[in-house]
Parts: sequence; C-alpha cells; structure tokens
Amino acid sequence: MPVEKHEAGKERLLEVNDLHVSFFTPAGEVHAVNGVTYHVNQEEVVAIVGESGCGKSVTQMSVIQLVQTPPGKIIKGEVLFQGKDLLKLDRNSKEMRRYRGAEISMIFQEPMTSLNPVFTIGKQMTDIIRTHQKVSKKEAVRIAVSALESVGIPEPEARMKNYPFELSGGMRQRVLIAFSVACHAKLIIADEPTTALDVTTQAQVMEVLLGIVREYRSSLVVVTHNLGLVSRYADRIYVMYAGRVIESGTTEELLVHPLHPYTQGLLNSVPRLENDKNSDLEPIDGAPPNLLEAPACCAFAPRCPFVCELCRTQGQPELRKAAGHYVACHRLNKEE
Amino acid sequence: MNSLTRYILKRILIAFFIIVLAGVFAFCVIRFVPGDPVRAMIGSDADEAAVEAARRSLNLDKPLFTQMQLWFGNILNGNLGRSLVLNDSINRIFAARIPTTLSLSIPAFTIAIVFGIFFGTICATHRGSLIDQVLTVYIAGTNGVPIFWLAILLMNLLGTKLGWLPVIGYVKPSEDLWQWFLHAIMPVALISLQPLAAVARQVRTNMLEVISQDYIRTARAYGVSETRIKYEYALRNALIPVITVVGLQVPTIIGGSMLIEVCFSIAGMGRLIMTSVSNTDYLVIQALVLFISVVVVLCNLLLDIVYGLIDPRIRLSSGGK
Repeated sequence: MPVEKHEAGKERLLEVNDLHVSFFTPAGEVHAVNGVTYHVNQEEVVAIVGESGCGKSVTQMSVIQLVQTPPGKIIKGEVLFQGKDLLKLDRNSKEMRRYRGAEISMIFQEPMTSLNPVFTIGKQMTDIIRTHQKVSKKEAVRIAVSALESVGIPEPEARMKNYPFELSGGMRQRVLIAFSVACHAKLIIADEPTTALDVTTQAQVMEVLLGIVREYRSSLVVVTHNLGLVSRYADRIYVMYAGRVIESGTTEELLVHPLHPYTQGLLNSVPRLENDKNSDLEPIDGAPPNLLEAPACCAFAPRCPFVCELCRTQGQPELRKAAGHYVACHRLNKEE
Repeated sequence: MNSLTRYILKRILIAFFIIVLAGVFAFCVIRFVPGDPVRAMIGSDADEAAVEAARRSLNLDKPLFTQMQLWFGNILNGNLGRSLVLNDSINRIFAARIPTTLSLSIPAFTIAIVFGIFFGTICATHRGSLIDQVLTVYIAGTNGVPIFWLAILLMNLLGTKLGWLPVIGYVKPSEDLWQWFLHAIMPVALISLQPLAAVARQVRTNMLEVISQDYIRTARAYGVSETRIKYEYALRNALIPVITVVGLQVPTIIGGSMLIEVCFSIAGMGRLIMTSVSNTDYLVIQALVLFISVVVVLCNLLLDIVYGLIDPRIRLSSGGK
C-alpha cells in the first residue's frame, strides 16, 4: 500500500501482509483469517473493528504466534515488525520469545482470568521483567513498582504482595497494562481491553492505556467492537468481516463517510445521543457466515442490502482506493 | 496472627475432633458386632465361671460408657491395652510392626506422588504421543487389576521362575540395607501401583485444563519460557486438586499394604489387621482402628496445610475471619 499524506514522515512499525490463519476442527478447516493486510506506524493508535468471530483477535494473536497450534495454524503471510518477518521464527524459539512482551505486548479481554491466581502480582511482574532484562531481583521490584505507579495503582508496594483475587477487575486490567509498561514495549496490542469491565472503569482504563502509549511513544492496536471507543481514540480504523479487512481509513474519513454497506450497518446499529430517542436502531440482518469454507464471493453478500449480480459472481472483492480511503466492495468499484 | 497460622490452627482443631469421633466409632463397632470376644479368646468349652473372671479382668462387665472412659484414659496415658491372644502389650506389638509397615508404605507413597506427578505432567505436555498412550493404558489397567493377583504373578515370575528377588519375609534396613532393598522392591512397587495411577490421571487432567487457561496465554504473551510455564505456572495450579487425590490415597496405601504384607508374609501392621480380626482379638482391633484413623487424619491435616501453602485463596479465605 502506498504511503498516504497523513502518514508521511512516520515510520512503519508493524506491517502484516496477506495473513491466512485456519483452525483444523473435527468439522473441517475453519478459515478464520483470509488474507488480512494492515500496518501500524510509530506512535499511532489503530483500531481493528468487527463483530465476534470476524478473526480480529486471531489476527492479533498471530502477530506474536500465540494462536494455539494445534488446532490453529498460520497458513501463510508476513508479519514484518521493524522490517523483520516474525513468522519466519519458530514459534517456540528463544528469538520469538524475545519479541513477546519486550517489543510487542498484549493486553487481553479478560482481566479476571488473565493473571495467575496462585502467584502474587510482584512475582508475576518480576518474572516477566527478568525474562527480558538482565537485572537483579531488587531492581526488577523497583521497575515493577514504578510501572504499577504509572498506571495509577495506589500503594504499588503493597499491591506487589497481593494476589490477583484480591484486586478488582479494573485494577487487574491496570496491572496487565503495567506488564507492558515494565517491558517498554514498542507496540501494545489491546484485545477488547475494556469489554469485561464496568462502564465506569472502562473510560478510566482506556485513559490509562492511552496515557502510557503517549508517554512512552509506543503504538497501540485496539481490537474492539465498540465504535464509540474507536471514534474517540483511534487515528485509523480497519473494519474486518469474515476474516478479511473490508474497509480502512482514517477515523474521521471512515466514520463520516463509511462506504462499505457493512461499515454503514455497524454505524447505524450504534445508539447516538443526538438522534431522536424514539428512533429505532437498525440491526444488520442475518448472521456472520460459517467460515468452514472460504467464501468464493463477497462474504457479506447474503446480508448486504445493496447486493447485485457482481457480488455473487465476481469472487472476493479486493481492497481498493475509493473516495479517500480503502474499501472492498464490487458495487463501489464498479461505480468508479 | 497471620492467616496461615490461623488456617493451620483451625485444621488441627478439626483433626482432633475427628480422631475422638473415630475412637468412639472403633469402640462401639467392636461391641456391636455379633459374637462374644471373651468366648472366642478363652475357648467355647470353658466353664461359665472362667468366662466371668475373664470378663471382669477386661472390665467388660462394667457399663459401656465406663468402659469407654477407661479405654480413653489408658490411651491418654499411652497404654493401648493388652492382647490376650498374643499375650503381649499392644504397645509392644505396634512398636515392633509399625517401622516395618512404614519402611514399605512411605517409599510407596513417595513413589506414587513423585512419579504420579511426573508421568501426569509428561502425558499432558505430550498429549497424544506414544508415551501418553502407554501411560494412559497403564493408568486404566491398574484400576482393573487386583494387586494381590498381580503380587502372585510377580512372585511367581521374578521370585520362583527367575529367582531374582526373594518372595517371602522381610529384613530390617538397619540389619542389612541391601537385603531390605531386595525384599522391599516388589511390595513397594505393588503398593504404589494404584495410587501412582490415580495421581497421574488427576495431574494429566488438570494440566490439560490449566494449560488452556487465560493466565498461561498471558505468560506466553510476555515471553516467559515454556519450561517455566509448564513446571511452575501451570503445575502449581494443576496440583491444587491433586492434593485431594493424594489424601485419598492414604487409605488405599493402608489397604494395599495389608494385602501385600499377607502375600509376602511380612510381619507388619497390615498382617496384624488380618490376624487380629480372624482371632477376634478385640482390643487389638480397637487399637488398630484408632491408629489407622489417626494416620489418615494426620496425613489429611498435613495435606490441608500444603493446600494452604499452594493456594493463597484457600489460606486467605478460610483463615481470614
């Protein structure tokens, strides 16, 4: 993809090209990710949006080869991190492990279960710190305490001695953010970081996360289905459907002029304050496709209100430039 | 007082009550079974006066509650009573036999736990491999095979046919360590067989479950090494339910040593159970039931403490308030 105007002068941090990931289940091969291409620049906040099962989490897990193998398998593709293809590394190799945490950190959806229940916060943090940095135990404790402090956890020294079950969900998610702070990761991937939290703590945790990203000049990938979250924080958005990117562009472009019928549908199904409170939300009819067979045509065609002959005969649409951003839709490509 | 001490004290208190209850049970059960122990002891053709005299000397003519008080009083003074059949003090009988049984069951228990955890972990981390399949067959197999039958087969093969190992008797380790070892191999292996399988099966199941937990994924996502993940992060979590299973193996080990001591003619506590029951040596039976309960309760107390050490949630929630 050519460098856009708004991206000029920024360096590419992560570039994922034509990623294919499948899960081999008793029912057959599930094509979870079917040729996803995206990139993240330095100091950029990128959102990956889509409904459950569209492959957005699997894509992110594949970046650091965290997909359970078996049953999952990365079929092909490239994951270039600062120019180096991470998929060329063996997933259990020491080199791959060096990237995990230290370069690319992940924050998961479930703070309640993402921390080891039988070890203290301090033990888990110092273990990770000492995995990546050759420091003494004392120094590791110091790094951990200051990381906890930076994510706004009160009395960090005391929290080090706590077990996960003694902390609330919001606090646990902060601890997980502190993991990536302690590692000085260049790229933080947050997979639905606030979905499992109370509405009141969601915003706080998101602010903490963004504060960290700005302070350490890291990049952030937020995987979410929450468009409200995206509109406030993201620089660019990728919309995924059935294991493919179907539309991408800057947040402003995409939210103001959504082109793909699916993106439009997503936006219409979000309640807005400025709308008449009696007006109904418009759901997208139908259900996401079964990915047991890689779709031969546009995967959204069965649910698309604007479906035409081309959509069913032309094969999968390519991501093409249209009106300031990229979209994969036969109808729009034809009109051009 | 910190939470761990509080937790342990609570456990000890509960253990004490269970032992007292077990004593009462042991006392009652022997008196409610049909048959007259005095007649069984001095012979069915003895005259009425002799039976009465024996009854008096054993305090059996007193009310049940007084008898129980006397018995508990003696136990607290360290006196378990006297076996009329063996014509010896029960303290001395136990003292001679306990070391023998312990020298077989402690190694068997240790082997069951250590190898059970080891095999279970191997199975879980190499799921579906040849080693997993072999061990799974072993685990399933031992449950269906009675160990006395296996004991007879082994004695026949390794002892009689091949002549590698002695098939009968026991040598104290203090007398001849090598001879003890030779005599102990088969009994220890046989006693540990089923407990080992039970522990291994539990570890395998738990490890497989724990390995797919979110926190293992987190550890992996932050570059923690696979060795550390498996043997520290996952195993520690997987061991929590295993402790319960280990506790359940104590009675299995006691039952197993009973069978094995009889098969191999070893004069230990297990064989004492058999002989005293067939002789209706009721004071010995009573003392044995109490002794076994104490062993089982103490082992479970120990495991409860280990539970608290391994799992902070148990320690902090049940010892907290």
